[in-house]
Amino acid sequence: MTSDHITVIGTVVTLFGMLITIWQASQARSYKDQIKFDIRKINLSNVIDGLKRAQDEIRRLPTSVQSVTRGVKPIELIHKAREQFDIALGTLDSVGPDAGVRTMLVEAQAKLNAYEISWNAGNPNPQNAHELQAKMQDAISILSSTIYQMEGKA
Amino acid sequence: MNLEELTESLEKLKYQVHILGNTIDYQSYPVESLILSMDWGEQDINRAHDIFEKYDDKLIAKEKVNWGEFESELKTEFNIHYQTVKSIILAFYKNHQWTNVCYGYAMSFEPSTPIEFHQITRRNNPT
Repeated sequence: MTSDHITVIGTVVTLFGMLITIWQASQARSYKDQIKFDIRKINLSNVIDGLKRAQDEIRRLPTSVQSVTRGVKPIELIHKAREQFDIALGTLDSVGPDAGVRTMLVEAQAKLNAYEISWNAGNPNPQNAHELQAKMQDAISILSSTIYQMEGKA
Repeated sequence: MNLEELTESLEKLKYQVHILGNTIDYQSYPVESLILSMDWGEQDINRAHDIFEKYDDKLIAKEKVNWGEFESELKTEFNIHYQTVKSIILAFYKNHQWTNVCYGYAMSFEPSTPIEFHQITRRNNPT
């Protein structure tokens, strides 16, 4: 075997090694993407669960002082709903693919704040409560559709 | 309509209400569901509210609450057992009514809280 042969074999081995490295790097990227995908899906599912709880609380907000059910404390409902907004807004990225639904939740949160102000003033605004319910429904619907799409079901 | 026919109509109505009661979604209407399962009237649910309100007032006044006394009061008022007390607590809690009383009662079992109360003790933050 001449030195030329050895050089050629060495080059082939080196090229083969490079190919393996490139393949491993692409696999690592694909794992990373998969992890990012899974984390986003888990986060979205958690956000949906929290928003559904908030939706239940919001649904029970009285539209007038006279319509308060015995034993229900509207301020407590508002605080609990707000907690869910905080969790959702802290989870969803303001610049990522879920930025649109995050903006919707910010608007819903503003409606909740407006309702709280009207409630504290002794004159709850039913329009705020209705718009809040509608925005919550839309946000949950969009997030559910996103998860379906991610799972390749839509 | 004679007395026999009236009784028959009443029995039919009771049966139909019972059937309707079974169709109520407990998750969405826990207290309505409780009222039907306990065969309560408006006065009965108001008596339950009165007891819960009494203990809610104690909590608001930051008085020390004897949760055993609360449980006994419900048992005596409605002639019920502990398991039914639990159902009342869960129904009110799910309906966002008297949540601080429900929380206080559930927490009185700590650290061996019944599993049904975990939804109360693990989520609630009393206000």
